Amino acid sequence: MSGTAFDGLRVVEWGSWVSAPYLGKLLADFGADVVKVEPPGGDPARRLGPFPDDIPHPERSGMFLFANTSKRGVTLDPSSSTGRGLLLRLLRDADVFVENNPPALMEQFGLTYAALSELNPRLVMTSITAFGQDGPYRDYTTAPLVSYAMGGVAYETPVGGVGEDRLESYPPVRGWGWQIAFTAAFNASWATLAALFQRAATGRGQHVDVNELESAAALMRANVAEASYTPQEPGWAKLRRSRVPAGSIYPTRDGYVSIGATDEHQWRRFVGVMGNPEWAQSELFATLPARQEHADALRALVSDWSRPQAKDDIARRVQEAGTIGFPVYSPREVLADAHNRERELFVEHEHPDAGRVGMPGAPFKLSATPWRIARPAPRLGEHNEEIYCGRLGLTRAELVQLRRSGAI
Amino acid sequence: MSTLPLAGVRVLDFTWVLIGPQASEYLATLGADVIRIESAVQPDITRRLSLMKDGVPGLNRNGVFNSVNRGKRSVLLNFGSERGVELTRALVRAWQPDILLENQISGSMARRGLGYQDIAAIKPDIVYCSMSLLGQTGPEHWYRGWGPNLQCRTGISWLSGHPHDPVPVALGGTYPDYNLAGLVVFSALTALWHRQQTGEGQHIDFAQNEAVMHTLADAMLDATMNGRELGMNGNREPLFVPQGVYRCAGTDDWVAISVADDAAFAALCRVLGQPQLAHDPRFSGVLARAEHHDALDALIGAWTRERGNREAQDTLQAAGVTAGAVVDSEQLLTDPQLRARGFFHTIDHPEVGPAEYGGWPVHLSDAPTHVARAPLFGEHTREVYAGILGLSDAEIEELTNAQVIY
Repeated sequence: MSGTAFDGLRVVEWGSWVSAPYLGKLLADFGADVVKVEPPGGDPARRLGPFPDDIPHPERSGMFLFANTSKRGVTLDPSSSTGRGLLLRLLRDADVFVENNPPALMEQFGLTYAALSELNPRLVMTSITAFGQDGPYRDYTTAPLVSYAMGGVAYETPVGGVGEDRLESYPPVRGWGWQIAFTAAFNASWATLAALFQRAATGRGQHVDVNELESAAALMRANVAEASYTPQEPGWAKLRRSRVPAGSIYPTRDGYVSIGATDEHQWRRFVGVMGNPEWAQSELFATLPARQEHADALRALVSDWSRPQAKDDIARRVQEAGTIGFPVYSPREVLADAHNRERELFVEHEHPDAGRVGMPGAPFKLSATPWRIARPAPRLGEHNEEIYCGRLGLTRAELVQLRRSGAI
Repeated sequence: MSTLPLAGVRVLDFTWVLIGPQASEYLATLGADVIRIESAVQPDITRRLSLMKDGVPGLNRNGVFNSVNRGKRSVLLNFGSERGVELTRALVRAWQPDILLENQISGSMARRGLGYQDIAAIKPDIVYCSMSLLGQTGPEHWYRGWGPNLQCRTGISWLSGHPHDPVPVALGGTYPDYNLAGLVVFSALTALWHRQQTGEGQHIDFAQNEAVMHTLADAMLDATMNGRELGMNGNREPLFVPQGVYRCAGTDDWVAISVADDAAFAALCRVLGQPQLAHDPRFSGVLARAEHHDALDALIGAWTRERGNREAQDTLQAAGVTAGAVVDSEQLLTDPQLRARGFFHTIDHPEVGPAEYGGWPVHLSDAPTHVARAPLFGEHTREVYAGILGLSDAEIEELTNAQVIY
């Protein structure tokens, strides 16, 4: 028993950059048989980096190596009819097709769900796009920063921080990297499984339509409810006022610490950790609204206390007192941290071109069917022969011909 | 006729606040029968936060709770008490849930006798999903907190911010709670898939810290491969130049612009009314543009300052430049794309009345989205104890008086 969770599940992925490849990785690392399809030029994530020693190389791009573990890779040119013919043959007995191409392009190539479901009625097709399969923005384009903005997340980022008294003069800022591409992939992951569960009952596949705009907007559902429950005053003024200064980030001698002592109970415990200073007894800080009103003064006083100390010590003492404290860690501190090491937050594997690569390990731990990297990310076209001859039954002569014609 | 994808799946939900309830809301809307355990000992903080309909306080009037608990049943059970633990076990025995979700402080379910081993002894093939900040093991597994504090420990606060005032920032959207709820659902359905094939249940140890790490993979790989300590780069990115958030005509009015390649840059120059800039050697190619990014920002900013964020967005997109308004909550509610896609649902509620909610992020062609209202506090208590456990009115009353059904 056990083995992997998705033993025997056949997935074909035509994805680029992050969202669809990451969904393919989630399925592949938990055991699905994922064949990644790349055009002859390769997934553009091969250019994304970071690269070992900063030397760009299509087989050594860090984001590509991460988002494509445990898959096999083939090349085909979807703009040629021969290439599309190969893709259709792969899809004929697939359970899932994952893609993140513009809807207009998929239409142009005749790769709509309507067409594919005739070929394979059991196919679950999962499309992750910028704005969805229809609607007035369907053909708009996006980028990580733009998805973060249009979903409403950027408007309240930063929501707090050491420099929050100075942030009024800065533009909104995005969260690191490809956040919303990951959010959309998370949503596509459960929706894909939901479609597979439904298929078990109906015998039919379906189209799973996920996009970055709705995935980002779903992160703001509390704000949506707030706006729909009570008319909101426009602008940042209210956002700024609602910030809770004791739930904030403070300087320490070795960086910063986050404290979450917002309600009265937590606040009193935190005051205890600070050694019950006289200023904390002042009427100015007696209630949460009072602390919000005198946020600047409070921030300065807490910072005077935190500045000479170490962030890990403060966090531990605050946690031991039953309230909330976490250090602010840099990437190197995350790698070095003892808790993270014990949990095997990072794993290493050997890649033929990139050498030993350390990357984030299991996204969550399953006791019976653990996460694993079955193989490193495929080199461009690495499994052409294995898949085209082994699975589709082409002869070696045909493979050579496909190569010569540029179809693969 | 289509059945819902998770019709017949039973979920016993011991989560509270955001990540857990959001995850079980996805399961409920997919058709699972979700029993959400609540208690008057400590009603969910999202029932008590300040966001009340019309400013009138009440456990059933909170917009956050009513948004993330749609379609569930609410049952009162004080599972911190000894008899509450017995009652929980009886409920598991009688109802045979497929999935159990909990986001209590790591280890506290086991201390109560409701850990994975305890539940698996009654229901061996249970999918038991524990979500926590730092996992079920490790020296700091017991640390408590909210997502916005935890995010500081993951590296994302360090990496997100303005380089000219490089202080770590907290991200909006109560990061990472809502974001990771989707991955929690994937973890539970992955285990359920395996059980469906093999009959084997299992324990899921979901640590938010670890899931966030996946979204930082590129920064972390620069650290593992090159030993590099990346800092903040604000809204800039080496691959897309220029890129930034630019001030528009109104108050707190901004638009995000990201230029993908030379063709998009030429299109941008035409929109700015200065097509010759595309041939200016200062801006020829991504490296030159990166070097003169500040000059480009000034040119773009002068143009955006004359327009509202949506006008800027639509003009640029029509010309082939990737751009999007930095929308606030009101603008989200009026977003033409979200409206056209049916992202918002008007749901009636006995205490709040009809109101609009957002947040169902997927479209399944064979499964209509039916979003039901959130339950009132303890609304289904009697129905569940009488219907599933067969308790009599007298027994329910006795357990209520003893503050077990409470």
